[in-house]
Amino acid sequence: MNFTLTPAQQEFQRRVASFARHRIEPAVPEMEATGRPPAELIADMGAQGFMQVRLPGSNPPGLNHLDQTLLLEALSRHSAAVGLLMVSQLMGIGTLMEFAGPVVREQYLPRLTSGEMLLALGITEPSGGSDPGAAATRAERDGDSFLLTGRKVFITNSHWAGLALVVARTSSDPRRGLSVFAVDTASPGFRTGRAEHKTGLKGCVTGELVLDQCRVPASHLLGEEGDGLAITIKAISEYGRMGNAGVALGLMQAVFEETQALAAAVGQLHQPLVREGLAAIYGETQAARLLTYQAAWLLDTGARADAEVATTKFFANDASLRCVRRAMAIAGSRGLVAGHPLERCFRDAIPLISADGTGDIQRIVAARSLVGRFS
Amino acid sequence: MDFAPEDELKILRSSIRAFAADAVAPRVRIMEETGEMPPEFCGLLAGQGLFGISVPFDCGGTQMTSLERLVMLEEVARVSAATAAWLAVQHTAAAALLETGGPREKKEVLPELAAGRQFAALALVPPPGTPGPPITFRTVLGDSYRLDGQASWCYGAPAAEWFLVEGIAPGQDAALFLLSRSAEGLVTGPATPATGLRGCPAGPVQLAAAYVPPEARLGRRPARAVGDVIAAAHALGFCGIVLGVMQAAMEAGLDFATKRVLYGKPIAGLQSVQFRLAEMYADLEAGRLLAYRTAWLMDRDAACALDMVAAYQFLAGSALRGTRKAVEIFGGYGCLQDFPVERFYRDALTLTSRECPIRLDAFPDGG
Repeated sequence: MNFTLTPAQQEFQRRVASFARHRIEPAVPEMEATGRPPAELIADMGAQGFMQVRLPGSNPPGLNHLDQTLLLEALSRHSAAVGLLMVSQLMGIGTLMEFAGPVVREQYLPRLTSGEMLLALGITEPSGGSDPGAAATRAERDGDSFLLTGRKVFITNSHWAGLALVVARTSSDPRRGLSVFAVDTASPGFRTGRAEHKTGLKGCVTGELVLDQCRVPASHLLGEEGDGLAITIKAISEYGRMGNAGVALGLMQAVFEETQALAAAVGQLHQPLVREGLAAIYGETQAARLLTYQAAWLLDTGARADAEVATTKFFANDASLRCVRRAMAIAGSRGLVAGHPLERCFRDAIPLISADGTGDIQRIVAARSLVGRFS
Repeated sequence: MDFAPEDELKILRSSIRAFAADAVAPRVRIMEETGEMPPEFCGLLAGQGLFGISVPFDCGGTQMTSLERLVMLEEVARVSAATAAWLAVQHTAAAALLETGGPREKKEVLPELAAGRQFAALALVPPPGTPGPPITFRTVLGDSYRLDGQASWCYGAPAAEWFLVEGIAPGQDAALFLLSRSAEGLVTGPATPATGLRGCPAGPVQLAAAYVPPEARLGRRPARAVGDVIAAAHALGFCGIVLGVMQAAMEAGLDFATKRVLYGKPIAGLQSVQFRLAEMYADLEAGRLLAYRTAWLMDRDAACALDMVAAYQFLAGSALRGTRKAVEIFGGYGCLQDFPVERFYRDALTLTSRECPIRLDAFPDGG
């Protein structure tokens, strides 16, 4: 066993932390006020190589799952909104690298990995997102194209994306009835609907994608027709849930550091209740961090890690809320004042619970996997 | 990072698991019934080198790492937390003697403890607010000491030959003394029946005008440093035992949930059961990683007091949560002694009844 990061990973961690401190932290008040990140931030992150994904089993360059976790953790230390925006970007890029054909890869991957273009994942529908197999959005074959009709909701990056990966039904087959399409958001028949006003995560947009006879070339189909459910579950599990946990880690680290600084500033670090509370926040953060790093490490070895990934996701989300609550008890009213980082962390921790699958769904996934292994 | 255990650690785990199944499991019921360890049992444990696992070779031990000790205790506790608790007390006593003992203790006492031929009990200063007078010492006759007071719940006391006694004195640091059972003024009471950890007897140690020679006082290092060593050994042992109990509870819960049929299907298909299984697993894995990392840091002499506190606190909460969920999965059966989960819950309750021994006087500025 070895619990240290490699020198290269440590250097990467320092580089991202420095970027986040200098480029993201100063922009947080503006993001809170406008709901948008600075115009050049996405491209700058692309220029830093933050959107280069490395698939398991392939060689550098690019970020493997553990690198992506380190990246999202360091970005989210200062803004969970930027972290979640990047989760969708990495999820889409990784999925395209694995399943897209040459046309889509050549046309879109360079623009996505450079940060010139953002990407959205169109999975959740008004009926819910926990059961992707129930998707009602239709895709009908029309010559060399498909015509997509339906509505996707609660989609991260919805209004800013140049490309959307949309899950749609191509047949009634319960197992192989879904397919995934790379939809250029400039396509006729594609538009965005409402943008949501969320509790937190102000700085990344969440909204609707509306497809009305949206024409998509057949070459934009990912994998084979009918592969949609498998592709979706893999993307959500290995990128969405893992990324979400990485964001939660950054948020918890922020809670820890901000609470520690606040207690030190008012001379309370010696108080037993403060010490106990900070130790508990530290413990929860470390526990979530080790679970997440282990799950990322497992994925990077090419192993299946359904139970580990699902557990990581719900544990990190729940631990975030426990940490914030502990921090509030230490900070008192100061932590409730708008503009204080703890107040923002509290609001940011809540929407992370439902993003990429609620904690209840993760518990079911984890338990089914455990029972399967045990049996 | 590499989360895969080395081959040596895997071999250690599988060999202890096999030993625990063969030698420990058949003795659990008698330990539960009598509250004592069967006489021949310690010889079996000693034969595996389990008492001296963290004692250097030249003192008669097997000189394993903290991580190996943690895994060993985990595997023993998976079958019997009481047995693991007994071993852990001896490990802590050995750590204290290694830290503070002179040549006599290291040549004469430590090898006996490492070989499991003799046992030690710890009578340490209790946390503030504990009922009863603490043990005090004062210098008499120039260089000897007089000890008075009582420690009320000392694991191993009814069977110990040696007593590591921590005393306090006005205006002085706490001091550690090594007394033999024959020391004048030292009296042990009968084993106190407890909720859990039955088989690892605990009882009171009373000192009434116990006069001890100067050589009974161990070491002259700052009391805080000695206390830290004892606390770290104790806390890591606690983590290993709790992990074993939680692992056993997890396995029992999974086993029962896949076999017990309700509404025409195994209850493992019910969401209320799935939630409990997933949460038990999350606590177990998170606690295991916290404890393993801390042991790994200890093996590299890295500062890890905060990590030890975090692991201890997390596992203390998880132990009760996890074993209670196992009882709930069993339903009414969970309260019957025919099934092991009620023992796991009692053991968890007993294990977690004490405060974390690590003291963080001031929270580190750097986190």
